[in-house]
Amino acid sequence: MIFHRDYKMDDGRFNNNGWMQELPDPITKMTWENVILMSVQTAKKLGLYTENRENNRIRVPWVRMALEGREVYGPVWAQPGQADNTIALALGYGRTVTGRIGKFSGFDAYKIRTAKASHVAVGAKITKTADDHWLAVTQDHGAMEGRPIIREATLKQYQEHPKFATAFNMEDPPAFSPLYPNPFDEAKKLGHHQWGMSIDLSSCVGCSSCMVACQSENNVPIVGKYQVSNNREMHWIRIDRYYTGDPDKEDGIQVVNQPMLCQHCEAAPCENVCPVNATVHDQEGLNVMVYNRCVGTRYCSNNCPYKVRRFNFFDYNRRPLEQLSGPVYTTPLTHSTDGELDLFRWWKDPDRGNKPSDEWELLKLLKNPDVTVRMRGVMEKCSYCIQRIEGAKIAQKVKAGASGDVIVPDGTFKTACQQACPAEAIVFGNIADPESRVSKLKAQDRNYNVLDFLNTKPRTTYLARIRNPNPDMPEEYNYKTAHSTEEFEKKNDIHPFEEEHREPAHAKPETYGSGKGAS
Amino acid sequence: MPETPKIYGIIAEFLTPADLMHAAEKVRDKGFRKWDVFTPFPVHGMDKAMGLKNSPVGWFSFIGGVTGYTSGMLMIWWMNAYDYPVLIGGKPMFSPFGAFPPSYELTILLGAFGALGGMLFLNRLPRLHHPLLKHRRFAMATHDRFYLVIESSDPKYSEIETRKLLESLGSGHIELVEE
Amino acid sequence: MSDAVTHQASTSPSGHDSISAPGMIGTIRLQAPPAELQREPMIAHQRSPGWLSDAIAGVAECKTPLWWWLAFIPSVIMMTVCFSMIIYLLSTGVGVWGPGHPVMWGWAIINFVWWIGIGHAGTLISAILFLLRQKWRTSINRAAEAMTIFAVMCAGIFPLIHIGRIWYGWWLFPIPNSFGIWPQFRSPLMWDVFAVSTYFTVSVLFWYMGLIPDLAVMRDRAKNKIRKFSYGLFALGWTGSNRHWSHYEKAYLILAGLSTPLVLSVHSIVSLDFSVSQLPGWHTTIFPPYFVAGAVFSGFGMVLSLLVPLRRLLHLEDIITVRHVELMCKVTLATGSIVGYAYGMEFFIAWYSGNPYERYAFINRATGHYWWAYWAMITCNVVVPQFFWFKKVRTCMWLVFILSILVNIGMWFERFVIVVISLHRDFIPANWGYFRPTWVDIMQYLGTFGLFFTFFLLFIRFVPIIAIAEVKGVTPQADPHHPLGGAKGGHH
Repeated sequence: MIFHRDYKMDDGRFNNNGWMQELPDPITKMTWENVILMSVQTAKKLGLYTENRENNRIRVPWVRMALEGREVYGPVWAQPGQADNTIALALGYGRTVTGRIGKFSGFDAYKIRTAKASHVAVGAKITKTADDHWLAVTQDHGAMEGRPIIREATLKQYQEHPKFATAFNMEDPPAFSPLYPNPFDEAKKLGHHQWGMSIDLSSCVGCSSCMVACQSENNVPIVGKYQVSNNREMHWIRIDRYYTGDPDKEDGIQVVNQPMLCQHCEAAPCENVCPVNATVHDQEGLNVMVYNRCVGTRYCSNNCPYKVRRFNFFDYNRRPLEQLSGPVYTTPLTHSTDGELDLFRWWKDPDRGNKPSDEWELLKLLKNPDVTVRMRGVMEKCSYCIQRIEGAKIAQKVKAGASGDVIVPDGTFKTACQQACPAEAIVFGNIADPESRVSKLKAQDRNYNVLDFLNTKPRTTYLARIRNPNPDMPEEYNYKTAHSTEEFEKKNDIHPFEEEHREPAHAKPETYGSGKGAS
Repeated sequence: MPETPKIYGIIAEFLTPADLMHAAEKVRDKGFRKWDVFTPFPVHGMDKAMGLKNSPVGWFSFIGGVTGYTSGMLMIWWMNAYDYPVLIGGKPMFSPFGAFPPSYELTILLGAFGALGGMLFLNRLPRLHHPLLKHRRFAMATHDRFYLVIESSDPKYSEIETRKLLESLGSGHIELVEE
Repeated sequence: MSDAVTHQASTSPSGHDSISAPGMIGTIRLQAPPAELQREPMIAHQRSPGWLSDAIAGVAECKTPLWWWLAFIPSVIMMTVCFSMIIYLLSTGVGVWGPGHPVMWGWAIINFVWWIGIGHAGTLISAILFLLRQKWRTSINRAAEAMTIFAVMCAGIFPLIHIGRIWYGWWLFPIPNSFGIWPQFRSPLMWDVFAVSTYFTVSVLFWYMGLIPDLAVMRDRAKNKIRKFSYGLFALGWTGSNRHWSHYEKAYLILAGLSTPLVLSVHSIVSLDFSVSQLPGWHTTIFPPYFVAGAVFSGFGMVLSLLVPLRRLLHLEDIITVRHVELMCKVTLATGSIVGYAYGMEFFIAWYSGNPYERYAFINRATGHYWWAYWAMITCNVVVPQFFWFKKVRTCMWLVFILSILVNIGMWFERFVIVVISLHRDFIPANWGYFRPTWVDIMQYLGTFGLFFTFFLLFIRFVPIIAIAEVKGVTPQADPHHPLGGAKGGHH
């Protein structure tokens, strides 16, 4: 039994921190509580494995753990890739004296932790109880299903086939010329910059700092455990974590991470289907979401193949966390806050919300004044931190004065996710400037688009991951090709490391003439 | 002294559609102008028997349809390509393919209004007060009897002659209709 | 087919018809077809137009039967539930329903497509069967059109209430607003706005136009002043004048001619809500014809569910005869087979395309998390209508009723399969998620049944449920060239 400081709660100091509670654990993607982690084999051996546990409100066995006369109850989670016969317990949950947020979250592992064996203990006993427990997990499915979402190569493979990343692409349809000229081609000439982002999957470790940074910068609300189990978490950027390989083999699992955010597609599928022009494209390549025009048909989210759009199912900013739970929700027509009927409170001042007044004042301090706070019924998504972009553009114009030198130099500002990333995996900038960092990264041969065949022309591209297995390792650990590649080749008739490189038509780098005075 | 009520016309009752149709032919051939037949359902061949021309309702509908289509296309072009053009997924500002469904629906909508409106206009309906509707026996016209009415304002109308004519046509019941 | 040729009215056992009249040269001997080839008459027992008026109008004129109250009160209660759920949704948020990422459309859109589909049968019966000169439509078209209108009313609720900010729903209409911006017409939802509004309006116009002569019948039979006034007001002073009939017939033909492409286009546009998107399982060109066939299929299922009990309860078996029910079963069989073919074709094309995402979408439908919905759909939509090949089934009213209910259930599951299963597993596996309806979803759906039946029961109570004038018009007594219509043979 291993006691570890929880990734988010630390030793318990962040138990009352909503952002931390709602941040999915990078590996288990668990929110709002801790679990008893054990390997899949151990869970099966103990009869605690839940077959087909993919669903909303996943139900897992509730067990009793006893160690040297102390006991604690908790839910079991079978974790692929964990060593057999080990149990991992995260500290920091199950606090009894905590604030509104931390109440009833998780179980207290301190209860069975002693000073004698404060990090590793032996001899724990697990007994099944008749109960089960439901968990809120943000990502249900762990396998990549042989789809080339994350592309990897070993170092040796990369050296032999440097252009492997685009070799995973689906075969191109025959070229055709469209009936109409693309109006965006004209509009591009009017923009001084063309924004784009490159995410290096070799650098990303899945730490999820970008998620928290984005949440804090863009006033992304938290929704609570019940809503997360209904798939309604609001994070604009998320880390997709896949397990690749065979869980039954020794060291058979590899984990890959990918930050997924709005790709700001030039041919955005979401824009076409919005009936009210609430999501449109600007001349600098951003897919802009107009909150005050959105009526909430949610067709844009259905049509987004990356599913990066988040919908405000409730007034998450006005409705207290306790009222976001359960199949029966309170309605302002009958509910009262602070002794006053919610309907009257709304009538007197529509902006007041139904939170107790102390919480309301705190909330106002919390929000970033540069970013709109969205009401219910409105769709939202990553905006490439447009407030920072505009701030930088304005500052540049002010600085430029009469000279007309309005292009923002590379590196003047960063998006929130880029700023927080400790590995500098996320790079954002002006792709119309060939000297900018992001342009250089996109020009690398590891560069690829996710879901290339849909031809959405995303501005966010990824650099494929390079693995460097140690050649001195024994045979079974010294893999020749990443597991995801094996899965891909099994499902598709494409062999990226064997064929001559095909230059896909739409992967050609576009020229982004910025029109006025680009350097 | 009570006023003699004004006479609207003379009404003859028939029992079968065939009888009515033969009677209508005779009345048509006699040259009457202001007359009509009343049936519970449209009788096949009655239009020819009465010497009626083809109904112009189609023109109302056609004008409605054309108006619908052009206004649909124009509206969409003006709204999406002229007044407030916005970049949407790299799609063209106006495309006849995309604008077709709403325009097509407007064609049908305004065509339908044209048909119904034209029909009501040509029939001079609604007309809630009609001398025939006050006539007691006329209620059978919607039931299972067939009527032929010749108005007194017709130049060939004569109270005696017309009545004799209708009797000769095989009508079982002839009455005068008051205004 | 002309009724003047098949003299089926005088059923002499020998099967011979002979017509002779004074003044005719010789006798005309007409051979009636042998017994096996004779069609059953459209109006049983040779009922006269007068009898028809009495039978049909009598439904609205007699005292309200007990069964009507027993059906009406629960319907009104469910209608109240429907409206309360809407108010709850409006005040609390879309979150009271089941959708989440990635399944953003749940029961609301399923119910919308289901109700609109049901409506299509009415328009098919009114318009398309009219253009095809199928006289048997006259016994069922009034009730079917009413069903269409009420079904479209129920359907139209959902696109409005499923949006996040219902109070801004008017932005979907091309009305000037303070932003100065207009709707985006490339979106199929905008096409829906026009299609559904047009469909509702034209259905109401067509239905009302058909009603005018029948309201005149009610007016002329009315016993008290209120009835006479109400029916008279809406009858617009119809007299039955042939000049009026002439314009009326033309307008009816035009409306039928307009409604035919309308019914084909409306459900095509609704299907384009899905086709225009990228999702595997949605992005397919088969949707427009497949949806239209499915709509007619489910609509006829509903018409059968409604009329089979009604003809018994209202003693209209002579007007809505077994032959009518059989013909409706045959249409159900035909459209159900088209739908079954479409299922097979979708699978084939998904396999043939070689696109792994498309293939997975279809395998997932049959074997994935919601496999039970898929197989319910296949059973009810492909297997069940095949029973209608057998005359024994078609003529057994109980069986027809049960099978028609199964057809409707199957069609609901079809929309579930299309909406939920395609959405819940799409391109990127990290996004795969699940959908579970909430009690509000369920109550909302059941509430729309309350709305539908409330209006339908009121319709039965006050309005003639069969097109009196049209039905009279297809009896042999209405044909001036038929002996029963007074023809004396010979000239014409």
